[in-house]
Amino acid sequence: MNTLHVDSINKSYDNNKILSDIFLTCKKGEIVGLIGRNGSGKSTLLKIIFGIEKCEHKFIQIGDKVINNIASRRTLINYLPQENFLPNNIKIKSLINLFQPKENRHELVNNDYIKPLLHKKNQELSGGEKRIVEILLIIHSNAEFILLDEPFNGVSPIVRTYIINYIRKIKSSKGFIITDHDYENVINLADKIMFLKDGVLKEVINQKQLVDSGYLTQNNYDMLIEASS
Amino acid sequence: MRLLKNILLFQRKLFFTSYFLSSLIGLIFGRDIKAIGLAFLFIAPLMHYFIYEIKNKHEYYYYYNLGLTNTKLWISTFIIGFIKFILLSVI
Repeated sequence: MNTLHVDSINKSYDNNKILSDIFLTCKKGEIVGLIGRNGSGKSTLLKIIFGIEKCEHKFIQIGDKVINNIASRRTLINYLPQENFLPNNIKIKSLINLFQPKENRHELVNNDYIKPLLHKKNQELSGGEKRIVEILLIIHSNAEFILLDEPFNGVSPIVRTYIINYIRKIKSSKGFIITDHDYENVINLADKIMFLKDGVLKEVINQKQLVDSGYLTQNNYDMLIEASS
Repeated sequence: MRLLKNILLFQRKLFFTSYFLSSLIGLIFGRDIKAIGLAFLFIAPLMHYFIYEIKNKHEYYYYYNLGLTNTKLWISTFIIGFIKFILLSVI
């Protein structure tokens, strides 16, 4: 089974260390939740893994393949940025045909959320509609590992629940790294939680730590424990 | 084939504005078809810079997810500009 290995990532801005010797693994079928305060470097880390942000040092490997640039990770890693990124002036149906390989299109064009939007152009969609099209496009691709940067941003609670369930449904075929300000959804969804603070990434072994550091309320912690038992 | 279609999607946004501007500049300064081709050679990269690097920088993520790097997209702009220049020079 393929594993994404991220090792020795170091990144500084103006002599300030943003990421220090980051080590992270994500197996196929696993959801890794990445949490941390604003400006802690979560998005920067995802961009470095995707290959669009430079850093002093990095080592990224999937299975036996060492990943050096965007072209070499084309069918291996896809990335959902925080910002809306779909081109304007083109219908969603055409975008699906252009973005997805043939075998993946059918399920997407028949999706209940996508179907009513097929003949609209990106600029005619609301923020929430744009986001769901983007998320489904990215997670439906052939990439083995998916990096989601704030996927629940601007999305209604119903759609959020749908996305969470959808990711759970397809997670056996892909590995996910997710970061979002909606910590509770990330914590709820993730198999493994990584906490980024002062440039250092640590795995959260006991979720009680998250209550102590203010990422989870006691009430929600109790609910999570109850749900998992 | 899918990659080529996506490069054309990227270039579509540049083509009409570049074509219009280079025709205008070519007609004003050269008043011949070669001048339009020459203007296109310079206007297309300028439009690329303005439309994508300044105005729609986020759209690059769409192309990155397809494995199309910044360098490849810039090369496509220069190649299309050069093809148009050659075609108009031959006429």
